Amino acid sequence: MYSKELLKGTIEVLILKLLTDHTRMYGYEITQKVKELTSEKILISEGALYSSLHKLEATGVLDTESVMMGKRPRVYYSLTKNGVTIAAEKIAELSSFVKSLNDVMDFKITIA
Amino acid sequence: MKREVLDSEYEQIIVYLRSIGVNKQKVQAEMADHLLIVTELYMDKGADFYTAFQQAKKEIKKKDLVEISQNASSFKGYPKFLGKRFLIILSAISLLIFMTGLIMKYQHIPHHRIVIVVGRRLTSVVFLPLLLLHNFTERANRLKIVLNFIFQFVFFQTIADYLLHWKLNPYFSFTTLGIGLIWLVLYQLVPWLHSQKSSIN
Repeated sequence: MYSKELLKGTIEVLILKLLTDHTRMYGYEITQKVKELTSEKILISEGALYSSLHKLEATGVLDTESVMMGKRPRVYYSLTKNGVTIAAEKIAELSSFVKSLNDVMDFKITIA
Repeated sequence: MKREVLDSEYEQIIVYLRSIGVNKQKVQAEMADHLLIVTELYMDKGADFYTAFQQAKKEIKKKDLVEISQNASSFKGYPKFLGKRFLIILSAISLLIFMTGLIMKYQHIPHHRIVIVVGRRLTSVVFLPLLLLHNFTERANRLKIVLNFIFQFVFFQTIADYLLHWKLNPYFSFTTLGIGLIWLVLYQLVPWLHSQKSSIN
């Protein structure tokens, strides 16, 4: 598992990327998807996840929808129209950053 | 065999969340759902509801739940109208009041000091903190930050004024009270009304 310092600043981009690929997701689903895609190397804490989701919602990047699962509500998140543009920008920025980092560190990795 | 949480058990999760202060309907439902999923996972492994819920509570700590709830209120509690346009208007008003005070002073018009003090205070303890906050990228806990900043600033300024035996102490006290009320309305009353409205919806 990576340190908090490394993950700081990337959680929002991870959320935006997942919501770009999936129409809508709920909190627990996001943590599990990240865990699965990174072979349990990135574990997002509930505190970090929901703080990021609520911040993105408050800034108009994400929209929420409450769906009843039987008698219980579940909050789904999706990108707003503006959020789609912001997500693309943030993903491109992170990708460029990792490429630059690679230039310095010479990780010998290929980023699409 | 997969056993789902019963309605009465779900109610226990809600009661727990209420007991730790997670009262906002939407956040409460979201946290309950998260706890519920984790609880059900433990129940799938054979645990009874009580044991499974205790495990879920260990996994998602009380401190985190409280923090999530507080941050959510903080993000949403920040009044939207306090944007760039508002700041431009406020800076113009502050400057106008201050300039009016100066003109009154040179024209020897009585009570010019009050107008100057109001203009200066509006700039230093209303406009500048709002400008600072506007430029914060992280918006969580803005309420806490701003209230701490304002009250410390006003408190030390008032003490300094008192120690310096300024003749304007009554004016300072008056403007401090006025500004304190403005902050109270902006950061306590408006978010509170907003949360009440959300709860009804």
